[in-house]
Amino acid sequence: MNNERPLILLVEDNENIAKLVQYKLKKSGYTVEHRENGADGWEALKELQPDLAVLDVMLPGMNGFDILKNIRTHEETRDTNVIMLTTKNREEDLQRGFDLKVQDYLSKPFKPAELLMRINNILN
Amino acid sequence: MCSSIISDALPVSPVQLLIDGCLALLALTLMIICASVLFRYWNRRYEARLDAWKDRLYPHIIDYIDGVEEAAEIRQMLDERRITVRAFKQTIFDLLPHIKGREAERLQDLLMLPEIFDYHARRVRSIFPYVRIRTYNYFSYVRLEKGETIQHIKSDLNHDKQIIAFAAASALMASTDVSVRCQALEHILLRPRISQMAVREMLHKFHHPEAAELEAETECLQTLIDSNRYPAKNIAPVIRGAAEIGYFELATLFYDKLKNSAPYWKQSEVLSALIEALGTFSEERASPQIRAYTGHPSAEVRKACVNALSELPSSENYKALSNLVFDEDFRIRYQSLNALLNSDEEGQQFLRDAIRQNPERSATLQVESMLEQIEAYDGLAIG
Repeated sequence: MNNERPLILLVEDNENIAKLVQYKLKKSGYTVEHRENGADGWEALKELQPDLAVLDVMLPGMNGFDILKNIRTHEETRDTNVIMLTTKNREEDLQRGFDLKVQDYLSKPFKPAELLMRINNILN
Repeated sequence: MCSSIISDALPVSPVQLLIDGCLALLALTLMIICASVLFRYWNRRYEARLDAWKDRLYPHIIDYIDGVEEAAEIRQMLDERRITVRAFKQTIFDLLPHIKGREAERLQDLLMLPEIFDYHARRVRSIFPYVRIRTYNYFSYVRLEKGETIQHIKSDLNHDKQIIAFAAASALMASTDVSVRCQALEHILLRPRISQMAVREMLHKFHHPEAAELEAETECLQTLIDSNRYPAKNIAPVIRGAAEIGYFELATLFYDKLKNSAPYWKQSEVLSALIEALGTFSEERASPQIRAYTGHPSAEVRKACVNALSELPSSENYKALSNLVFDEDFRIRYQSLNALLNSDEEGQQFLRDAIRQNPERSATLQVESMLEQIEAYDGLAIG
């Protein structure tokens, strides 16, 4: 962990989802950084090296899988925990994510409490 | 004396008139600019206040859906002012599409708080249509049970403006009473200029999947479809939509209508919808009738036959599909070809035989080129 409060990077372009996730995570004691697009998300990942990244699959520019691929191919980010948020529940998307060693998946719409539980499971 | 006063007052030069006119225009422009600046200022202030209210309400709403706060605490924050109601409603509408399960149900419960419900119940009586439309949008998210409110909304079902009638019908689809929803659907179907998409949307709102009302909903649809009262283009999406949703009890009605010789059921829009719906239901007994329509003059009907026969695998149906591979309409050729390619070995054999045995070389060439385009020629091994 980088500091006492685990750092979570949220890359999500929908402001309503971002607000909800940020609120829930901050309330649970996490430090949260938010980026709205893939390119900014990837830059923040390299710079901040968070304990966990919550990535939306459908992002403007670089999508969630592109970021995940970058994470796994760069030495400094290789071990980052990742949860993907997706509207797609297709088998091949799940497979693609697991091939790139994603820790967990959550499809939208989701239960906020479930997301928090999954994050807690990974980080604790 | 009098004549000298008149003669003094009258002479106004054209130049003076022009200057006066320009000054008046300048004054008017300045007034418009000032009004617009004031309006923008007021609007920004209002939006800032609205955001502030949303920020105040947000944690309480999230805590409520998490079950750590009671509704009473939120109710204390709400008053009769439009801005608090709007901030509250917008926060919930923003969250609802992204949340599921018990949390989503609790969000919807919040919309039923007396302060919110009563505010909208009053606005249903507004003389301004746009206010009513906004109010109907709210009601479409809640469980509508109050008779008085329903009566007010119903009065707009016959409104001349389609958008108002549609908004009213959408709101009534939130009713827990199937007969109210049925009545709203009926009014929509009677409108000659409603789009097929709008009818389909309304049918999906009519269906309440969580409630055990399938029987009552089926009964309503049966009555509506059986009445022959509605334009063909409106009833066709109901037939297709009913099959998509899964009102399986309607299969017998659709089968009877397919055999019915009355002109209403022979209109290509209705006929193709019946054929597709029976295919969706995998209604084997309709196969002979569907095959008989593969030679129908309307491409829409023949296309429906392809869709239905693809869902009903049998030797006779494969044979009918293999004939449609040479149809004059490209879409039908393409779809029947794909249906046979994606079927079992028997279906693919029918396709090979059809291509080999067709004496018209130009027709078989067309099919072969299509197979090459979709890279299926070698796999099929026509020889």
